[in-house]
Amino acid sequence: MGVHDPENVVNTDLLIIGGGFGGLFAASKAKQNGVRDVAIVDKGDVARTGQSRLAAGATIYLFPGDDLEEWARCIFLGQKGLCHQDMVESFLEQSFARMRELESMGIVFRKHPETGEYIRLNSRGLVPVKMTIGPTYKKMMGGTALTTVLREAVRRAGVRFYPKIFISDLVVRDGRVHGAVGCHRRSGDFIVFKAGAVVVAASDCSFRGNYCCVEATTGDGFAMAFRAGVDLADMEQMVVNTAPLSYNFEGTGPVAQAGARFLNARDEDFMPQYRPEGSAAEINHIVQAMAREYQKGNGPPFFFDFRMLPEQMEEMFINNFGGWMPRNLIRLKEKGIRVLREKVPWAPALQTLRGGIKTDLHCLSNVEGLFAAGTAQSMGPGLFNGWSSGRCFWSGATAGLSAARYLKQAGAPSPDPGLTQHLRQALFNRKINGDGRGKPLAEITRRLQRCMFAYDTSIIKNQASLEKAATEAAAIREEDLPSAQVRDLHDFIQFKETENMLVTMELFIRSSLLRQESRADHMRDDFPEVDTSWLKWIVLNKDLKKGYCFEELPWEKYRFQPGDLTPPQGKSHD
Amino acid sequence: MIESIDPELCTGCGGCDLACPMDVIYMNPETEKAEILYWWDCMTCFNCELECPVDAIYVDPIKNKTPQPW
Repeated sequence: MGVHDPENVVNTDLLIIGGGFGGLFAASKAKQNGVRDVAIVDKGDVARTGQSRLAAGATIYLFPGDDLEEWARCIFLGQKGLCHQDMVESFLEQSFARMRELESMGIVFRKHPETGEYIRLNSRGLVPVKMTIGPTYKKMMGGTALTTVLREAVRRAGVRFYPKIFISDLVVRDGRVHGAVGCHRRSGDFIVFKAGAVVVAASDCSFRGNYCCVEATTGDGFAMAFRAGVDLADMEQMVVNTAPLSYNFEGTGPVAQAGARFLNARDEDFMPQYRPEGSAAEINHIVQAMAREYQKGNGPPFFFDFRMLPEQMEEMFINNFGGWMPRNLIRLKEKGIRVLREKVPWAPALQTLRGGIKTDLHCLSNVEGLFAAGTAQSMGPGLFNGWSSGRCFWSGATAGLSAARYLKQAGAPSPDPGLTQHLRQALFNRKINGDGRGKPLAEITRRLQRCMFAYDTSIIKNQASLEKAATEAAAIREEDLPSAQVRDLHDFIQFKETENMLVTMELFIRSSLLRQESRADHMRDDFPEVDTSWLKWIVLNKDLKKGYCFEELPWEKYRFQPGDLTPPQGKSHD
Repeated sequence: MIESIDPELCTGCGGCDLACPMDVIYMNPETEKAEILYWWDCMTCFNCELECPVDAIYVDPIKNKTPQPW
């Protein structure tokens, strides 16, 4: 493997990086709108290895008769005003069509046996917004069912799949994208994709966190975008969720609404002190309350107490959730662990970065021909039930349609050979040493995690803790990466992922230092107030003079105004 | 964390290799069976177990631990 290997070139009209909901809907829409050749590349397998596959499949769909303005207002309030209102309204307007498309592909949504109506639940933090649950396909459920039908649909449409290829960089020259480069994770062969347009639909970053099944999200799309001069926004908006210490569990929203309670080390139900909704509060309020309890000496340990839940809750989870969760519960039950009947040790767990590539309403970035979809695109802060899948469907479909329109008038791509060689050298910046010398990657990852997961880096931040994190990031870059142990190709890809996590960490810290207020998922102990003058986006770009700029929200075209954030009683929503 | 792949049951279809998000499972070209190579990277997502058509894979639900926030 390395710079002497033969170069593989793939020519395509539209390259989609990432085969999850965003990438699959982008491919589907691009094909429907006349794009001749579409290729999806994935570091795992298309539709089979990403976060979409592992999703529960609950999604916000606005049904005919639902109140769009009311739902849009809920999301605006949920995002504390830092809301791309045009995107949110477009997402809501199109959501029912997306649901119908999925049904036409073969998805069957479960219905109430008595009423025959779709099963809809309140979205935590966004009531009365509702999510529809229970998508099924053959014997599959949830994200497994959704990704399977989408994969079959785009394959039938002639989309080409390139699995197990790690894309390292976008090829951007003269303000336009010309493709991307990477290598095959099993052969190490260098690959150049020449493409008239590119959709980045692969990113999120959990820093291989303790939240369930997020360890493959290593900020690859954020890092490749940043290196290519693409604008990124909202990078300070990190969601720390909660999780059991020893095993995976997802679905805290429904169980909290059913009565489960978070407890501190003194067995106190502490959440009502912080929020009237108690344990059913938004995730950021729960983890911030846990951090406050930690500061008071009331934990760890913390617990999630399920003992008051009805006995049929376990059965409900096994029968109504798709993919890995039912199997997980069955395996735990075999070991005598009845999660939904116990008091389970629990803790904050970093899950997802809400920031990403900054785009317009058409999912176009600041680089010509480069679009973003899925969690690679920034659609504002907040993690609400049914939101992530829905926004990925919307941005995927929008990016695919926009790319199709762009390609009708775009010239052929012409990646400069010198540039691709430069990117090739950058990709293979590490040699594989089979002798085992160097610092194990697992140790470097742990160092990065100890810094990122610290409650005063990712939950309740302050100037000093963020500066300390920045110093630690610089030390990892200068001391650890050059001496990393790279024994084989598996290590090599993990090394590239670690580089990307580090870039993402640096972007998160920089953006967190800049936002001197507390809003949504970003909590600063030294600036605890919500400050209306900070109702603006922090845009990071390596080509900007300072590396960042602030951008005012386009209030003139928005339905809701800053004044709408303050309820009549004068209480802040934070 | 992934615990075992039964070589007697494994048909060599390669589904688990493709379904693993963490590059843990590889096909052995000589035996044409799936093998666990990088078990320590398993994130206990059950993708492989659910993908396997002959129930040859067992994933233990207990995970590797990562650092906590305090």
